[in-house]
Amino acid sequence: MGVLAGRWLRLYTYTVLLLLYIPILVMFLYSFDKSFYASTWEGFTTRWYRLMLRDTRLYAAMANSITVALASAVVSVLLALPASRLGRSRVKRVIEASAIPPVVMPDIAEAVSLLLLLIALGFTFGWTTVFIGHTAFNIAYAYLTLSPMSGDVRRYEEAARSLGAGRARIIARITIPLLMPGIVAAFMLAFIMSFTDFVKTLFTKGPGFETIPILIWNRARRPGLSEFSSQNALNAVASSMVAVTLLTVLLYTMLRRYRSRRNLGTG
Amino acid sequence: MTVGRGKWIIASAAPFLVFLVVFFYAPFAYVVVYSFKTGSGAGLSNYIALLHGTYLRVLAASLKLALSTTLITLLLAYPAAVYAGLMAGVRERYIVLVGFMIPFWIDFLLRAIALKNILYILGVRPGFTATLMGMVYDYLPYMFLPIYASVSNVPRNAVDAARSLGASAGRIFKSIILPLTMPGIAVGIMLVGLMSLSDYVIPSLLGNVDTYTFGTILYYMFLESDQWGLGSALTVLLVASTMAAGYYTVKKLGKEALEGWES
Amino acid sequence: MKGAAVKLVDIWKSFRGTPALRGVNLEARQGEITTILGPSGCGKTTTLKVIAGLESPDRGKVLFDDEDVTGIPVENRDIGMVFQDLALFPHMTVWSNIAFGLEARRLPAEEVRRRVKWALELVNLDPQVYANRRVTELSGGQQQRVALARALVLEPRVLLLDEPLSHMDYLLRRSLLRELKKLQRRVGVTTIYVTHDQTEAMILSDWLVVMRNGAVVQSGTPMEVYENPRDSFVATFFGDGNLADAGFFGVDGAASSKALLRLEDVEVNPDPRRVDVVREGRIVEAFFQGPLTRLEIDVDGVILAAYARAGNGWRPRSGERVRVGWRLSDVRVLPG
Repeated sequence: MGVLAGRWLRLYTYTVLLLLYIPILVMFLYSFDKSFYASTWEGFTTRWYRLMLRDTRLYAAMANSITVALASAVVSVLLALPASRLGRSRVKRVIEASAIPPVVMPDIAEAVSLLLLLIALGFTFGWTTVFIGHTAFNIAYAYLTLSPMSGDVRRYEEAARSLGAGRARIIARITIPLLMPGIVAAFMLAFIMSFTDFVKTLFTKGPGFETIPILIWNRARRPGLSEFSSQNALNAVASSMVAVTLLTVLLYTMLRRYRSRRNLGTG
Repeated sequence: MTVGRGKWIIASAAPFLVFLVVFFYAPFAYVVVYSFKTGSGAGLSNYIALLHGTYLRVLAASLKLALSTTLITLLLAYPAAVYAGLMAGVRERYIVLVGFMIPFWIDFLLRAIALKNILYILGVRPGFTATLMGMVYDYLPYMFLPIYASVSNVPRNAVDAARSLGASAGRIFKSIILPLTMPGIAVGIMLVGLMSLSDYVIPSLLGNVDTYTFGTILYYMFLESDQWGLGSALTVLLVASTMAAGYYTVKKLGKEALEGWES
Repeated sequence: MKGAAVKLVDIWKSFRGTPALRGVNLEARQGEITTILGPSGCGKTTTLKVIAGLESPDRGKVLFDDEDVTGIPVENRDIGMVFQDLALFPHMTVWSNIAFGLEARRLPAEEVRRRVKWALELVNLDPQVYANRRVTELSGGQQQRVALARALVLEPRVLLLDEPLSHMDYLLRRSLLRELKKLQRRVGVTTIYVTHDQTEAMILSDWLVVMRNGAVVQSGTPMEVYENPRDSFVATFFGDGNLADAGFFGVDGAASSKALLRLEDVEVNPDPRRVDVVREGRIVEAFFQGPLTRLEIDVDGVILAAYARAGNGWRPRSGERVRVGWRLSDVRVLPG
């Protein structure tokens, strides 16, 4: 393609990349700004972060976010795991097919439908309905994460059977250890998807219930309502969440690399 | 075919299916049924209403936004993906890839908030342009990654071989790179297209009352006005077009497109 | 370790309507290596799985020493199996892999330790060096041996091997084959080996079973099968040969039947006193293969393959005219 073209493209690529990060960096920067708005810099301060510590509404939202995410992740993995272990059969194909639409459909469509159905069934909206909305999606994702590994594990189970091991022993010493990386991955995926979810939560939460994304959004829509809703206060909250996300991803990648080197040879 | 474990395992997989049916498929079925409910029993009046007058204009506006977003992200992401997948060295590829993946991991909403800052500084008021910019910004990684995946499947030797045969840069692009990256482009277009069509978050933060997506329309219909019939019909339309697009892509490009989607 | 004699009686097995095994009858004698040879898809792996108990037949019986084990699941059949991809547990050490089966039988720790050591030494792996290594760190040949040790440590009645060498390179395969045979002789367990490679079959087998399309086509000692193949399939699958009409080779009667003439029985530029038939031909192609050169010679429209020995100064070239000859007694008319 020519060296020249390569050089231009390289410049282009890094520029785009830079542009992608600038808003995040700006947000991070302004979270330390004295003023309420992210326009003129008025001086360095940590007031917004200190404000977060007094933010009871944030604590409530965080509690909700974490509890729903945890519960959803646990239930999703528990339900998806046995489903992913099925051998090739008609039932398996049904299950496999049923796990695809939740991943492909826009979540707003599902959220809206769930809303209608839950109202018709007379549910009270709150934690439970949000949990249901999240889990309906998460089990599909968990399943799709776990299912590819299943085939591999089956080979080893067969070998273990040929050596005379009974079912309990096989599950304990072969199946679960080998599936563990997949289980962890599915769990983390479900957790993150639940924790950062917005649309599904929006439609299934009912009045008053908040998760962290909902809180941020609510405040962002009405800036100036209070100190907490000021732009830079939000920047502080958002920056903290970004930091947490990045740390988690870092942790997860390091964990994966460590595990794979230990268990399965150089990955 | 394991002997004798069959029934036990199938039973333990049942809760999965039951949960999905009750909380995912049943609601859809309900919505479909609801969409045909009219004042006087059952009929297509909701659908007909959607395809006329104000509603049609509003749907068209959403499509316009979605199309613009898709096109712009495609044009922006493609050269970068080609560079990273085809020309960069191993080290660089990794850097670029990680570079595009990190925003991907950072929550959507947070990035929209981050962009809001910038737009505020730049003096761009909430509206169509702001929303468009927000969408392009948020969706760029989603367009980049699938295209990158299919670009990296183009064997580098192919480009060298073409050059050794005397092909010009333009021809190489047209006859080799473009066709081979089609699956990635298709996945990217579908992904971004669908997401920008149904998005709610970004227009709610960066748009004004005239900024429409299927997402904002549905929000309005369900949570602000009580037009559930219309809303159901719209939902059905959205789902139908998603399935059609998905089916078409898989048909044309085979399972690998779906795998790319998954990753 | 003596091992049991294995007998398959009229085994039928279908998968989703397609028959994989059609009335397979097979005998593997106690203490011998029986090889099941056949092309891909012939049902040899399925047969092995039926013997193991990983698949149950739709019809027919599996007998170990006249005991009907057809209904007994694999866990309780007391077999040792080496899978095609070895299936060593990747998250365990060499030691744990080998000890696994023993622990499943709840043997006391001291016994386990003794037997694992014995098994490692049996396959020439120094316990001091290898016991605590992760199996994923080992080379192909070493993994192969661990898989064998894992199966043999249980002192099974039958040892089953499913194309265990197919992933290996040529040299490794050769040396492992020889080791395997020596090992089996030492241990004496009844061994059933599945492969599609005729060389492996030739080197290993005490008894050969050739399968095709789900049925046994011929069984016998390797030499019997080689010298008296039942049909052209066996003739060319096990050993290399020239197939042509009997009349072409000069055999009277049944001129339209197919006959087989092994490559090594075709003499190039022969001494006329040593052969019964001599013909003129032209070399079409010559393939250098080290000590021998394989020639393809056009004889009256039929392409015969033959070997010429290197040395004595002759470099066969295509286009050259040569004479070929053979003894009538070396021509095998194939039945049916």
